[in-house]
Amino acid sequence: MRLAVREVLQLSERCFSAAGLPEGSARAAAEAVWWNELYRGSGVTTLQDLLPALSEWDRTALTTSDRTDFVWVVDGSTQPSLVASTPAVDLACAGASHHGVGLVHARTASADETVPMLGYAAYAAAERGLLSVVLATGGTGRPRTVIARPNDPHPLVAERELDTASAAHAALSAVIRRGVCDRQDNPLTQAFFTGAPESEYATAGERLLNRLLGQSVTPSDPESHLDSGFVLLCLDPDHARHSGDLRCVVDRFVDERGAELTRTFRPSEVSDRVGTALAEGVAVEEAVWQDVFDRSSEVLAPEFEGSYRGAGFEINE
Amino acid sequence: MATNRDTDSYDPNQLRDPAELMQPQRLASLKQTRLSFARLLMDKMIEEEWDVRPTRMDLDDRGVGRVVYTIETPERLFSFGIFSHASGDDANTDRIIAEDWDMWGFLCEGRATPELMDAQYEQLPHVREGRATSDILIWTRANRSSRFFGHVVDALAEGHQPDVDFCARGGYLMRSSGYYGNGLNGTKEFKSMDGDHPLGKPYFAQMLTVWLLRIFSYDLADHVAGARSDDAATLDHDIKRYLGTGNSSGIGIVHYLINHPQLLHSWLRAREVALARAKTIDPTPEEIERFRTVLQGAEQWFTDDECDTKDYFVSKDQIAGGLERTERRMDELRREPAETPLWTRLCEWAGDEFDPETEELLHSLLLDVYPEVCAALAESMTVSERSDVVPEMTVGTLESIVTTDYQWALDVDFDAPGAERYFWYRSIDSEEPRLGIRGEHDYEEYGFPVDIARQVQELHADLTTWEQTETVAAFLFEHPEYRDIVERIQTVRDLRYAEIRANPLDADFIPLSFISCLKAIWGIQKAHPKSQGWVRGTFYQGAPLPEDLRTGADSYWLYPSKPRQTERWREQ
Repeated sequence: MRLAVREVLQLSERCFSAAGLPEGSARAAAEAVWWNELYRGSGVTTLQDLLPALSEWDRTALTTSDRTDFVWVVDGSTQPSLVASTPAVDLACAGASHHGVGLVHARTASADETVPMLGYAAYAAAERGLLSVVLATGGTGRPRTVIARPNDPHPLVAERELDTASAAHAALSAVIRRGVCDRQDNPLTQAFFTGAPESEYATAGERLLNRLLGQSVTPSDPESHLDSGFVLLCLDPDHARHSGDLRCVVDRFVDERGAELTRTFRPSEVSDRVGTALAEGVAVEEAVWQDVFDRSSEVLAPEFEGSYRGAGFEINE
Repeated sequence: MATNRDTDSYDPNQLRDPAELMQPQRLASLKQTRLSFARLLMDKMIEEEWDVRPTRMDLDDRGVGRVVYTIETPERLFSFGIFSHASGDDANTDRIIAEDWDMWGFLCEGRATPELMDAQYEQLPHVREGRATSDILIWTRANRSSRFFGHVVDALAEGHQPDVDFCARGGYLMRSSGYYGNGLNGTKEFKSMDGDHPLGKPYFAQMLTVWLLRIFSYDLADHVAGARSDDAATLDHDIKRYLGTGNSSGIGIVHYLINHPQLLHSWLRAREVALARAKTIDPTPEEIERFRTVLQGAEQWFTDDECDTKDYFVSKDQIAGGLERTERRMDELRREPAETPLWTRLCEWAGDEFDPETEELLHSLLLDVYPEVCAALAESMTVSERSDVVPEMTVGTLESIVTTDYQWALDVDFDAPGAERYFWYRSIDSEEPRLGIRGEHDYEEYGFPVDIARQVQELHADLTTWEQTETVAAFLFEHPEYRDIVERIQTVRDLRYAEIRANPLDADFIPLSFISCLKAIWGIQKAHPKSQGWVRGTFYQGAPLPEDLRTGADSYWLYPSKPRQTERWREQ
């Protein structure tokens, strides 16, 4: 059977609302489901897989253990990354807007089936006009990196799956472990500045970003241990703090190292997918839909005897 | 004051203050205008001479069976597939939880093939779980009017025309209730309609379906009467023109308008801009006479209308009286020397003299004189509903927006008796929207967040405890419960007509105001309340019929006069 895009969003939002997520968080999570359906073809199926655990999701379980103006360390060790990703996107975007860089390091549950949906975090930040990188490890599937760059009409999104956590994830996590609040330097600088001469890019910002991207698709030492979780990094390419053309760095990286990327979603390709989905709907197995539909119906009040007398007390009588 | 013949500009200062327009009482008074969707669609159908014909009419003597109409536009072919029943009076509740209807139908792109009809016959009765295909634009359901349909069939079967005065009390033979489209049940998404799609404007698919129901109701009456008697008459063309399609709407519209603030703003703004332009035009003598004509037509129509407005609407006689006074006042004002344009002075006078309903009707009639001021605005009524949080905004800025744009919400006294009497929810029974009384009825935990004012107050209370320089992102991290209302406030920040200034939780809240507002935007002409939360009404009275479209119909069809032979037919 086929579902309209609107139905995917509505059913998903209702499932999350029924599980107790606040309205705004439920809608953001529903958009992540839709993104996963559009980009990976598995949003609704993933949602069905998540249904048994939804009642344990608790947005209020997230806490912050450290922060500076543009770095947040979030502890969500009992929660899946999809619960943590919405506030993480907001925090990283706010940091990037004000300071040029925003970074959120989040610990999430080790048994996390939503890791493949984290690409939505990078996408959502790029939709807000920011360059973004998600570095994730733990949970279902392999460690991964998702890079997104604003574009029209959809962001460019590139993904790399790895056998171990990326070197960039390991480097940034090491900086976070050392504590961020008492340090003057940008964690990016701490993690990726080498001091070695480099001629490929003219500005420090470009060189730093290029190194970050390079290490984001490079596996870390298999012996290194990282907690389950993710890092979301956002950069405002137009912020006065940055010099050079950061967008161009991402474009070149994706073009020149495309062979290392597991998949790349170009804006035109995504436009075609959106057009097809809007015109034809998305294919879903009926059993999957039935499970999701039943769970989504929990936002609706049960039938009762008074149903047949009127829709509103003193209104329709 | 300068007069304005430039149809692309307007004085922003002429737009009404939302503090006036967005009051429920004022919104309840709005009338259909040239920018209402039913009229915009009919303009297009007339201009492009759409060809509408029945291509299948398999009905038994009671009118039970299957019917298909095809609609040919210059760009595309559509079909309206109908499953006609005769459910009996007891089942005609019009509520969406009803289990039987006199017709189910669907509007689709292309042809309604027998295979598609068979498949949809199985699906249409299932409001929640039924499945359409992506070339189906609308599902709809309707009931025959037990009073008027039966009367018309009886009269026709006896070989004469029905009593028009009697029929005019309702103004329709069939009454629709519920349109399911834009992705619901797998129907075609509005966003997927390209720029040339004939129904690619808001509510065009729904309004075409409403009009097609009108045509079907006439053909059905003729068929049933013909089956009853070989000497049966067929319904006279003038009566068909005079009648329309009934519609029944309830409290679900309250949810809709609260949940679609961007749409509400764009639709109301277009109307206000058109009015602001029209009022500043210094009219020619021909335009004055045109206004006099539409004024007199409306006056007669309201004089003839015998619908019971109960306590919720102004009586039709009072409105007719107001229109009569307006004509006299217009002539007086013409004779008075003034620098201010005539329409500005007339509207100011009406604002001082009349109830809001008559005043808004006057505005609507004024726009009828100036189609050119509305023409370009129709495009502005299709808007994106995209919304997002602005996480980098500071708490101080957000608080400032709240205190300026939402002072009306902060002024609601939730400690007052009855201020939180109701909660709103949906039942699993066809997702029917319902009201419950807080503290007395079950299911409060299923409540829907229609309480914008209360949410704003709670948000404001917490915002004031935060550092003004902190970001909204940081605030929402600690207060995820506010993400929805913050996103709303940030999204509609510059949309002056997005928020209706009402508290739907209040014991004195009257859903009728919201329902009437949206029905006016749709283009309903006649509205008569069944209760404070349920409005029946009539679309398309006076609108062209298929044969009129083929022969070049007049584009102005509002407020039709009763057919000239009404007296003679009554005596039959």
